[in-house]
Amino acid sequence: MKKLFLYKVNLSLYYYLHHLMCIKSSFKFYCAKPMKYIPLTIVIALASSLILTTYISLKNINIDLKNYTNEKIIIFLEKNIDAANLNNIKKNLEERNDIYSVTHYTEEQSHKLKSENNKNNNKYENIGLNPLPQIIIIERKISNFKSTDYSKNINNFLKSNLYVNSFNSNIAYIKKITSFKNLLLNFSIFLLSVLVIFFIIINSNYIKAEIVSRKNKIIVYKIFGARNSFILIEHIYLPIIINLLSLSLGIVFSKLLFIYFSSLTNEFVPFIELTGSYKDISFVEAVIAGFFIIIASVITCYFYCKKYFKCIY
Amino acid sequence: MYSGNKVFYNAEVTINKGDFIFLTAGAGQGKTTFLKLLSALQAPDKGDIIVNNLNIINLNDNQISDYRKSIGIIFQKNYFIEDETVKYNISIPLLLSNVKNKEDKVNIILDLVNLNGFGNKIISSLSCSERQRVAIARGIIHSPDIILADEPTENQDEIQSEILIKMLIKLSQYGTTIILATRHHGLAKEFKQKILSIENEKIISL
Repeated sequence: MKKLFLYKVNLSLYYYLHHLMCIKSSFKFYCAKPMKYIPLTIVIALASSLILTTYISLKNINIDLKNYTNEKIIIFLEKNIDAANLNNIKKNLEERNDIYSVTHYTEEQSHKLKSENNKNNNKYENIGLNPLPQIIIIERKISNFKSTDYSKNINNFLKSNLYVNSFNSNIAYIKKITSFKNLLLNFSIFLLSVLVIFFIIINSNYIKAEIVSRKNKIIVYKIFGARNSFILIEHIYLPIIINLLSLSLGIVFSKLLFIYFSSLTNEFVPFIELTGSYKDISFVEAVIAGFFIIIASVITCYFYCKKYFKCIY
Repeated sequence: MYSGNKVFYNAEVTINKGDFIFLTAGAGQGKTTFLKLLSALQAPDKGDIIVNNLNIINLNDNQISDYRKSIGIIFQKNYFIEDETVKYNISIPLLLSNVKNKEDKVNIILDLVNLNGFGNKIISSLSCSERQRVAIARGIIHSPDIILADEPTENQDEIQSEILIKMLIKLSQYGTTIILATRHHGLAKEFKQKILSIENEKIISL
């Protein structure tokens, strides 16, 4: 029993050692014939950079959308509004279920608010010259802005009120950015599906070519009692190395694309009205992407190696 | 059956431990098929193959791998890792069984098959005769229980053939079972060992 246990321990240690040897020989293999693998690396790198660029765009839109959890409506009041009518409007708004905040700003306060928002201190010395009227800012939950009834009631009330000069809502912007996000999300799902199929095809062809080129080695190993897992290990690390290298290149490509898009900010930002403060891919996200590509490589390699091994032997 | 043709049937053969058997038959009569069946590289259409009280027909993939580690195979058409050295190719059975002192064992075996100084040569640079001797060295290096040799002396001259067969006979005296397939009946008779012959799709003991 003890002998058998020691033999098994020895054998498993040998298998771990074999893993290390295979990693080392795979690196050597790559370095010995880099030109053989560079086209494959670049193609996968471009594919992964496309996915990453779409992901970064989605991430930034989501960050931007987080600032807009509520609809804000700014109501510009008439100059001649008296306290009673102001209270009537406030009361009417407060009674509505979907509105949870109604804040009134005097002329001076609205001017101050605008100055703070614009981050400049161009305060008018003479308040009489202040062009801004009194305002009311209301906040309400965005429940279902696809519904036409949602905005109808409050719009009708504000339009019909004589003391409301005009009003403006950020809902149009939220709608625009949300639909853009949905469009990008659908596109990224489509892109991901296409590229996953592409990844499988390109990897399977590569694995097939590698197995055919090492046919003799596989047969010799099989004849002398190597298990499938032992032979598989020899083939598994090179695709992992190629795919990880491709991912790293893909991250670099996506960063370059990112810099390019950032330089186009002036044209890009007004179109989708993003805040302009972009966030790049984080280290953790890069590690997760690396982890996924390792899993994908191992699964593809395992499946196709088994398939092609059967053809050889 | 091999490629749709019946090779042999009702083949009831018993081989004891330490036997040296010459398996003789003409070309295409089923020598290689017989050895492939014994090495579990091919399955019979019907029947059982019992080796060391183990029916190798019922083994799973991993058990077949373990079984193959206990046998030495020398084929007529030998597969090598062409861009590797003689030493590496010979040491493959040792690598797979994680045997220690590989270098020493390889050197001893190279000496035994008269390939001294060939260790660091690349396989593709060897002649047919040298390749055959590398195959023999690889087939016996891990001290297997059974050696299956398919025409191992095919590309050797007479002197070399004699040396190799005598070496295999000596191995059988230490308890290794050896089945050597050849189409030269004369060679088999010359060494006065047990002979099995495939004739008219039947295996007969001569």
